[in-house]
Amino acid sequence: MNFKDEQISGRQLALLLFCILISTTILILPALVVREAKQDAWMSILVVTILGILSGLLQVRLGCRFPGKTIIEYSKEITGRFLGSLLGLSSILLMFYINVIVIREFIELLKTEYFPETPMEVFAFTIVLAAAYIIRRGLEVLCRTNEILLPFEIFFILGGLLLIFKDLEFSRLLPVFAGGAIPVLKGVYPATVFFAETYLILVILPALNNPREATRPVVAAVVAAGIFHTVLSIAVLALLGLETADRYFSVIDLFRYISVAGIIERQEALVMAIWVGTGLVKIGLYYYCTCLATARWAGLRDWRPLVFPTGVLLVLVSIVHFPDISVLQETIIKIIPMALSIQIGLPLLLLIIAAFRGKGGSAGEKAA
Amino acid sequence: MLSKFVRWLQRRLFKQVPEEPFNLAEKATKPGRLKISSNLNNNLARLQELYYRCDDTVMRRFEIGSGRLGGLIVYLEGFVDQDRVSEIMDGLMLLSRLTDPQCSKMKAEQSFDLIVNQCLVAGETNLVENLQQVTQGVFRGELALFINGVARAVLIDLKGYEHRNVSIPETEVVIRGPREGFIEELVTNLILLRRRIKGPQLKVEKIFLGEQSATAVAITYVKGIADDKIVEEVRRRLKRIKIDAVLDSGYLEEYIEDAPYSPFPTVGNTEKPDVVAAKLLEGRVGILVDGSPFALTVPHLLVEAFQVSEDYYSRPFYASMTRLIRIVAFMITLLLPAIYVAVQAYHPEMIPTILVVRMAGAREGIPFPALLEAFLMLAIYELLKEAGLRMPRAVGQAVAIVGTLVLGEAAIRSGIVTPAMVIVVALTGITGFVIPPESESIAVLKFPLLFAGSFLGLFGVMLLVFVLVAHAVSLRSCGVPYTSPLAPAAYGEWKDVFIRAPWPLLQRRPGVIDRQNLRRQPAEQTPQPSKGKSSRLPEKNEGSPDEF
Repeated sequence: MNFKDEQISGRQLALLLFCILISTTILILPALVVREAKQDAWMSILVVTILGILSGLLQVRLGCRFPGKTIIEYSKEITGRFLGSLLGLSSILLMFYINVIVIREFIELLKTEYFPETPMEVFAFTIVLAAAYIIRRGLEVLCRTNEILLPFEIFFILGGLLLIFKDLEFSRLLPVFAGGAIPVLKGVYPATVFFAETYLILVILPALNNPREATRPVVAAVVAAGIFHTVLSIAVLALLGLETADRYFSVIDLFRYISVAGIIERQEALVMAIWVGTGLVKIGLYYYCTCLATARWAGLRDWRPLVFPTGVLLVLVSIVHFPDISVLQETIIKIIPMALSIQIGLPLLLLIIAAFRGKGGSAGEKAA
Repeated sequence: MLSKFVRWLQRRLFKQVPEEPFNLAEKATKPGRLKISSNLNNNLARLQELYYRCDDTVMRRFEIGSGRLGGLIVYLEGFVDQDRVSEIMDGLMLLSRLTDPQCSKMKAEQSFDLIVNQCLVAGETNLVENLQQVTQGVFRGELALFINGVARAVLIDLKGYEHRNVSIPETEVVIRGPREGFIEELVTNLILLRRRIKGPQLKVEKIFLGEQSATAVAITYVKGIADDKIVEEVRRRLKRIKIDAVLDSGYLEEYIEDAPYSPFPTVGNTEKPDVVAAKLLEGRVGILVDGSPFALTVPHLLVEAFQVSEDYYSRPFYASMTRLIRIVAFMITLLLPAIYVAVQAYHPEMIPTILVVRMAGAREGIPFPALLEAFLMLAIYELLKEAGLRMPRAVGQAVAIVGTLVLGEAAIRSGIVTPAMVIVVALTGITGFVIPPESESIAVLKFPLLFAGSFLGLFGVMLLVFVLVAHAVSLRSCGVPYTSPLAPAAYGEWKDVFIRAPWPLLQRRPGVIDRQNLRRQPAEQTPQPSKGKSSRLPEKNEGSPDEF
């Protein structure tokens, strides 16, 4: 019903997914993984990339089975009206909750690193307002915005890496594989949740102009994000060593320690530029998916009237829900099992049941 | 969303007057469906009534042939070519064919046909039957001829009036490339265009707009290159316009724009026929308006703000460099004041230590916050710019002196602004001139960006940039996404966006605008040195044995 006027290409989907896979994650992932895997964190990330590809494939497979429908509709179709509604609601709530976390992370970053005296309500309000402005214009606009801004953001990140390169000490990565496979696998656990965020395609897949070819963009986005995070975690480790675990926003240090010829120094404000660009796209996409999924769940014809109430809730919850940053950190760890069970477990379950009950055609059958 | 709100506001604020026939002139005179009478005296009386107090109309009665037929000519003084009028009169009054005895036996109708077909030495003639048409014609520079006993009139196009010669346009100065500019006269402008694209594939559709002005507006496009849908859309939008007068193409621009409440222009304008020709050849539609030296082109995309005609005439390396400079200058003029204020107030650690100390020292004793300082300077700069534009040449120097002395030296010495701010504002001003004037309205955005930067630092700047980008990508110009080929990305076309690739490589027209005739020219036209054959020493033919 809503997707007729919204058409995004495979490339746009890939860029969009790449953006949401790197945006929040870029700052907090190294700390979370290093805590478990120590100097082998980058290996964990490589392993996670493979898991990410698998989960992405799983989600695409499920989405392709029901062309033109979102998870809200086919969960009902697969498991019946009541259970399906509950499952749909759970994924809507997860989207909303992750968005709240992302917004709060954003606010915390701004407050702790740049604007200690500005009240956080200002940030919550402006961020959500900007996101609302964009998503009211639809997914297409969000994709195009991302398409224009992403190259600049990647340019900033690569530029930062280039400038800090002389200060990196790769000996900090040694000894490699010292603790064996166990720490590496432990590090995989918190990281998976970030790579399983591709589950948003269960909502936006119908907007793709060629839904049957969703596999390539999804895999490409996950692989690119995996390489990106691996490089970044190596850089952070080489700069900070095991101290990384104690820095919540460790990538900021990467830019803070930049010092070239006494002229280019402390470019941490660039991180904010990157964050605003990618973070807003991520917040916007979650926001959009929440509104769209809720509209479909409730059987509304249009999702746009939901933008305003959802925005108000996002602002309120993101401010009120977490007293401070340490609670935020704990929450992120705590919700991992639940998030994973909805991001990966739910699609897997639905796919198995669908295959069992013969609901929906597989992609190949539809094409033929 | 915004445009809806503005429209609502407009309705609330200015309560719309119920539609009433605002064309009073027409009401008073009512030439309406008045048929031309076969009695010449009746016609004359009516015309005199219609053109009451229009003293520049000329109505002259005369006798055709040997005084057998009564004739009447009507025209506007100065609007028609006086020599041509004499010629026509000459033909009618003195020519032997009409004095011929055989002719004298003919009825009035027959003589009329004879006159129209054989005696009028003019290119365009038009037979009409009512006085409204006559009036329309006369006031467009045609001469009306009535014959006694005939209930028709003939309009003869004898337009000839004073206008400016084709000269160098002042807004788009080029160093290399054609220097002709459009003038205020449509016919000449169309010829300037026709001289560049030859053949009937260049279509010119004329319509008349404006109840009072009845301005001729020409829609031009190249058949086979322009997308028919876009042409149809332009036609539809133009025909819909109900307006009092069209005194310049700017009037129409705001009626056919996709986003009138946006700082981004979605209709382009240019003064140069070569630019219009180039745009027509890319599948765009040109709109030429009589009385305006500025032609409009649609669809107009964001990237056109950086494409200047000279790019395509000078060598690609130089052209690419200047284009990159233009893009950078655009960024500077938009972002520099905002970033300067933001960095100074919130992120001083980004600036090298020595400089930050120096800057802080300079700020010592300045009474205003950086925002006010920047805003004041930018506003004064805009003021000076406007003054320089409007004032007579002779006084121009005064502005320059006031500008340099008062704003530069004195303002710093008296401790109103910091030297760094003067540099920032000067740079912003200079770079503002680099983008083509048609895109200057985008530069207004530096003010909101400045406010965002001073209230929320770089975060505010980035946030607003993000929103502005989102706004720009959501725009369309005649159905074409405004930011293409950047987003939706068409990487193949980037060779004419950030750089200007050599002509032999620009084989395709922009695909977003033009979908039917993409290929501009065949590939591989660069001269290749012919291998071996033309070299001085012919190679020895090793393979074949000597046959002689």
